[in-house]
Amino acid sequence: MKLNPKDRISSLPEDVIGYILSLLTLREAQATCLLSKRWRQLSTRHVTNLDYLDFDWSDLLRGMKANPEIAEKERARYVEWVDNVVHCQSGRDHTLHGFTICFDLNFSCKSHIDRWIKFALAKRVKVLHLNFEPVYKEDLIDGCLPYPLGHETIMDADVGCLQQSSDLSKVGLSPSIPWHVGFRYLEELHLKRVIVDGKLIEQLLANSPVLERLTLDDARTLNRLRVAGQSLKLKYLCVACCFDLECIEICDMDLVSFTFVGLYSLLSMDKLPQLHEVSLSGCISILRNDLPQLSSLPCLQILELEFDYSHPAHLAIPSELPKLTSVKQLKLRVGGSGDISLLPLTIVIEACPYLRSFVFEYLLDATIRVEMFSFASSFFH
Amino acid sequence: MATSRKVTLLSSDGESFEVEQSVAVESITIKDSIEEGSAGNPIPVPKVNSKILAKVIEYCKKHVESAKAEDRVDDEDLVAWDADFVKVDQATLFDLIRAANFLNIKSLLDLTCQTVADMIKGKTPEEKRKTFTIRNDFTPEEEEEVRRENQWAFE
Repeated sequence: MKLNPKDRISSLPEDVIGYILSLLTLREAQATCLLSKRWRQLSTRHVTNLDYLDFDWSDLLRGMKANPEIAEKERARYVEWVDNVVHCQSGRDHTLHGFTICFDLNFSCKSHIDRWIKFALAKRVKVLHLNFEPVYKEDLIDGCLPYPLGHETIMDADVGCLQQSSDLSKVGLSPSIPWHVGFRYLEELHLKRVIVDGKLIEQLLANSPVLERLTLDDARTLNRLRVAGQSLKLKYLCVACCFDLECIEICDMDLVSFTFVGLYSLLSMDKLPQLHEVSLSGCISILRNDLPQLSSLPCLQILELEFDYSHPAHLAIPSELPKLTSVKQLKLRVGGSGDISLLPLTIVIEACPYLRSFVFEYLLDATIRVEMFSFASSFFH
Repeated sequence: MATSRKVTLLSSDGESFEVEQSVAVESITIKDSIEEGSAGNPIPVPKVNSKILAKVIEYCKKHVESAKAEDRVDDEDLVAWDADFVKVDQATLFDLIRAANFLNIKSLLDLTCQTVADMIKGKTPEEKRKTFTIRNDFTPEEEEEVRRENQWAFE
């Protein structure tokens, strides 16, 4: 094959070309297939062997936002793309490090999404991101429910699962639920705008022996969540904007970091000897309801609190707060309209007698988390 | 007691470069051959000519110095220096890539490959071919087929 001597890129060693392709997005790497016959080979080989699949097509998302009429068409294009790449990779016997879906998808794409999840699990994926954030924040704009993560998707009638059954009965679960063997390898799970219920999450945690990070963002219908037990390897937990969440209980585990964004959920934290970092975002009742629990955490060093502080929220500041003796770093982020004194907030600083660093952010006219604060103001009728 | 040990590197076109050992071992290839005792003196560096070897040495010197500096060289300054370093013609850039690959200097390989990746981004196939002088050896039918197979990669 005669190569133009001026074409220095095509004659680079193949593993170097592979490295350059890995610095491009998936679509950019795929697009190099059109350059020449050699690049068609290189590009196809690269995509087939990729161990990190990041299906990022943000241009298409922007197009959807600008033209809502073509939403279904754009969704179909994205789904076709993922199907195509997954199909390319299905034949090969290799493991996946990461699998990321980021698009406005919903219940209408359920069969495809189910297939992708099974594919990723079969490839022993370590990091799984499913982000189905809609382009429009308004609920159910096209009357379609969010994607529901169900038992049937994460079950697997594989031979490899029979061994799991005996482990299941040890954690008190019926052996007739064969969990996908892929959960043995899952280290990170991030879900955004997925319907999932608390019991399923609990079972998932019990069946994922190496799961370290879990994010539940905008998990619809999640009503109660209990994350507990010495056997859990979970270190980083983030629960955000799950507006149907009534109560969340975290106890008796080695969690290192906890982030929570929510308004009315009852938060219960107990026996968390390794909890080092906590971030709570909600309404001012955090101070009265949640700070006392934090004082029992022996290891808590970094604390971030965020809430709305406009009239009449300042009336809800407790007169006394328990001491948080291990906290060294405090960050307070408050939104307000500038009409009330911030001095009452010093009680929070005083609650941390061994503080070494303090950061204060004041967002005038509270543009942060607008939806949440419209709830908050109705609380103070 | 730390006397700075020097080694001599011999480029493929016979030119000698004396450098501190600490700079030379930025190349894992050279480091390994020194540790194995198979290095010889001077250390031959086949496939890398004097022009490129000089540049590679310049890069390694800068990076070793900035890591040692009493008041650490600002990361931003080093990034700016790196950005200037790769403002070279394509021939030199690809020679640097080959050298970094052969000599196993990860940070230089990262820098040069990222530069090439940035040259690829945002260009149409025709623009890419032009930039890198890649000959399009597809027939129109073949090109249409490839485009169809990978339609999601093209707007």
